[in-house]
Amino acid sequence: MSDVENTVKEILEAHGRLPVSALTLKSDDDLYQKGLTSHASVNVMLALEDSFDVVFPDALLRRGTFQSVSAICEALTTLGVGVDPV
Amino acid sequence: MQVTQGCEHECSWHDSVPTDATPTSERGTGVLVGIDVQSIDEVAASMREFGSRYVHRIYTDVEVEQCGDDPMTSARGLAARFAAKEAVMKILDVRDDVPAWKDIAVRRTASGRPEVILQGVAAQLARRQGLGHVSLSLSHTDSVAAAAVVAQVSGRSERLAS
Repeated sequence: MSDVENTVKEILEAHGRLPVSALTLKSDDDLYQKGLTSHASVNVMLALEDSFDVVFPDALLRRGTFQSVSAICEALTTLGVGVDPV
Repeated sequence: MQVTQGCEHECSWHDSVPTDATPTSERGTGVLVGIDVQSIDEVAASMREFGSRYVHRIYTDVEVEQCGDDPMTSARGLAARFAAKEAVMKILDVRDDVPAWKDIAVRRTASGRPEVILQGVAAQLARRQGLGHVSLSLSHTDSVAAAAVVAQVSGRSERLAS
């Protein structure tokens, strides 16, 4: 498991208000089915921005972005997280 | 309708009926109903945790201003507005184009009634669906805010480009 994925799970644990531990989630588990609400996803987004020093543009603020841990990691990759500088 | 302690307003509408839409029977006519609830404590916690970043990312300047400066009153008002944004989202046919949070806003009129203001992608979606008047009702208890919207579908919607 990557450091990014670990950090995403820790943020979900702290801000996702999930009824289950985010640390036990599989990468492709549906977070909304696990209990993630729209409002909690806002908190997750803001915490991700703090942690990774990025800003989520409006285009990424869609339900699919926060559908799963892997989806969040993919979104972070598009924002340059985990990409080695050239 | 009054849930318990506070019914902030009754209802109002925002006239967003397009006048230049191409008729289509895609959605027909009738009404769409959206409803959502939001924990006030969760909004208050987000305000404490993320401050103005949270507030100004989600709510328009008018929404923030009209909810006041008192933390508890503000959290209650913003929670109702968050529920309203979600309730409106439920009646919009959202696919690839997703409205930004501020595309759906609540504004209190001079008479005290709340009305829905749609901008950007939300307004485009409403036009495409042929949505007419969107009536809004907000309510709250000490812990939960709720919003319900009812929209008329005019039967006149813009044809989606294929």
